Amino acid sequence: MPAKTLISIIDDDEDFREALQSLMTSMGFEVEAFASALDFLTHPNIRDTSCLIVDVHMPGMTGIELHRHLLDSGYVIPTILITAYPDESVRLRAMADGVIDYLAKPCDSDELLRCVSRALQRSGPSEQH
Amino acid sequence: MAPVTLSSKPSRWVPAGRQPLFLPATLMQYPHAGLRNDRSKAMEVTNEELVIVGRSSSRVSRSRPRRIVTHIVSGLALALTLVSARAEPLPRTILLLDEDTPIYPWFRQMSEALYSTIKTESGNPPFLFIENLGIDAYDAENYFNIVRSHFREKYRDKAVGVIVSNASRYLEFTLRLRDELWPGTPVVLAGIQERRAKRLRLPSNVTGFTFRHQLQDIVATADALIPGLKRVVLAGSRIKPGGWRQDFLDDLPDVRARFELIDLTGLSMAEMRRRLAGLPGDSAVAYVGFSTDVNGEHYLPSEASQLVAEAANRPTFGDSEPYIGRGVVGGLMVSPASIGRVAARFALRILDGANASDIPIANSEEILRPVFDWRQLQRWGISENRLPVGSEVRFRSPTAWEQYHWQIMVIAAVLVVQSLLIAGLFYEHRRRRQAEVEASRRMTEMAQMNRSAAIGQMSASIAHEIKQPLAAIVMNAGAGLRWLARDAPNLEEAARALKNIVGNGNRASQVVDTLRAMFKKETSNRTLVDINDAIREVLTLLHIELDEHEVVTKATLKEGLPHVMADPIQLQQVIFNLVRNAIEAMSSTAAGSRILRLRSEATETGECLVAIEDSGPGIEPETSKRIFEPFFTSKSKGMGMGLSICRSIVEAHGGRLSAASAKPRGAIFEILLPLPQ
Repeated sequence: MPAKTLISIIDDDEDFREALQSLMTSMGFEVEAFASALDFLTHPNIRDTSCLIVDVHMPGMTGIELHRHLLDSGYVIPTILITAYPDESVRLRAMADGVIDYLAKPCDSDELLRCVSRALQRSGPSEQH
Repeated sequence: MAPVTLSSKPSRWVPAGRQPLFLPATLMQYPHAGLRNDRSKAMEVTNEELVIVGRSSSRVSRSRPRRIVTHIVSGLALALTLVSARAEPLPRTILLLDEDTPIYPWFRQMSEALYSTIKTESGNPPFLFIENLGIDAYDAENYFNIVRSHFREKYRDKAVGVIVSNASRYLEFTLRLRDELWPGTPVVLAGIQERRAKRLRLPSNVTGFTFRHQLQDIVATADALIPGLKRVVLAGSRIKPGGWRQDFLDDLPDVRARFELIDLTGLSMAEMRRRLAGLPGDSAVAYVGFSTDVNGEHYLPSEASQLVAEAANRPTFGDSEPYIGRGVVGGLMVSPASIGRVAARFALRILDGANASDIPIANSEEILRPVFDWRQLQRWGISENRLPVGSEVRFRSPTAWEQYHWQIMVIAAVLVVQSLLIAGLFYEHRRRRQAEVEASRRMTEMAQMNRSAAIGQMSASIAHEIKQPLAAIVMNAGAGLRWLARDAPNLEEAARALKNIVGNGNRASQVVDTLRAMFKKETSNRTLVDINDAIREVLTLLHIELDEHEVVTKATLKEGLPHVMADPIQLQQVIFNLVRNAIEAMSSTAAGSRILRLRSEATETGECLVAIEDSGPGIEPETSKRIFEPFFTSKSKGMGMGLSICRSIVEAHGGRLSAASAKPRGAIFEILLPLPQ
């Protein structure tokens, strides 16, 4: 069993990214933060990620596209999407694709943490294999 | 029907009544023409019971021995003729004896009809000899001898089957010619006055037909066509006993009994015409023929009819078909063509074997026909409805339709096609105009949508810009709380989160400042602008919308205003928005009273004023304070950004935009812009 659960955060807004990182760290998670989807994909420890928190609107690849890409590549990482432009149709599609949740900024930290624990419950059994 | 007696027994010309024989003066002077031995008695021959017998002609000779010889010869000839008439057919020839000359229309019409009838109605048309005797011009007795010897030679080898004579005045002349040259040859008298025929006792082998010839017929026609007729004017040569119209003399008392008679006969043509020009209004002219006037001037009756009718100030009526077309209105006309036709049938019957003596002289109804001249009816305003049934109307001008119906139809067709074309063009024009209006409306809608989209996009980006720091603040606050809530609170991390909150708060404020600055920053395209040009361009852009909303535009633009320093596009946007607001504001105003007033002028304070005034419902006092606030709208649709943006733009140019209620109604928006010093 790994020492700590790894949570990856991707957001192009540095302030929010740091705040998120700080919150997750305070909860005892191991956190990796990235400024773009590409940075994340090129990182060697993708496989170790238990939960992915990703901003929808980013230059280059969006959070939605990243999630789709991971699914297509065979990586099933529980993903939480966060957006400043909440859109109901996007939310429905994303939920259908299997994301844990689709949250609007600014989002409450308690709510986010509940989502993270749901994500970890889902990823838990797969880790035991 | 006139019973005409044909003597059954041979005799000579016998005067049987007291009245003098109606012979022309010329003939009466020559006793031989009277066909009597006793010259002195010849003057007394009457035609009342004139008995004419073919054989008696043999006695008409100058010398007794010659007469005897002639008698014997004639008797033999007659006997032969009678035998041959029974035994073998007559030679198929007709001799037409005319007492006048071919120049008479009467003769031409009569002879042509006769000729065409024998041609068309006989399978074996007889040959036609024609002799125009022109007796009027000669000393009748000498002339008779000349004609006789001339014809004797001329017809020595020509057999004559039947003689057709139109003689009336010179009846005896003709019959005597027959007796001396063609004894026993049957004679057809072509058209003789009914009453005159009654007085005749015709020799054997003479037949013919009569027609009614009454002055009353002329007068009756005039009376029927001229309302209020009181006077009848007789115009023509004097009616003489023995003349063609001798029967009219008998009719005069009857006419006089009913009308006042103005007798203009026996005058010179000039005098008669002078008097005809001044006839009273209740009169009509009865033209009774004209030959030679008192000055010895000769006229054809038909040409005289023209002179009479043209001179007369009242309508002229006549009795003879050749006068039709020569000034007379018309009437019951003796038709020479009908006479020719009937005479031809008589001649053909005889040539085909009928005995002339067996054919009784009878009235021929066919000869009188009601004929009228359409032009004269028009001239005198006589309605065709008044004409007798069966009237023939000649010289009717064809109506424009009858004359030009092809042309009219072609022109009408061209007009129809042209009208359709014009209608089509109008329709096309209207459609195009509607399409233009529609396109303009769509463009306006598009502009509106673009503006909405732009505003939507802008608000989205504003939201994003502000939400990001807010999201960071909320998240940092959550993290800080978590750090403090740990069993061993990590103050360092909590302090860092608070610091981040401060930073992001400032960042949000900065976003707002940047947005404000963005609106203020558009100063790059400023140039000197003619404010009147800007107004006119806006009106041009909006003219379709103004028309569509039936807005009357009244612009009072001060010429020669100094130009203002402004962004022309932004300035136009402001005016455009204000004019459109005005149009929308007047949509509830009655169509006739939608008035848009535009005014430009320089103020005393050195500013340029543009006023846009509408006749809409105006502005509520409580509304006027908030009207320029962003997102304020009194309209059910729209973003409400218009007026606040307008004010922002005007203020960005250093000017002011104000709104007030106009008098007596409506709203007035005033833009004040600084003028360059």
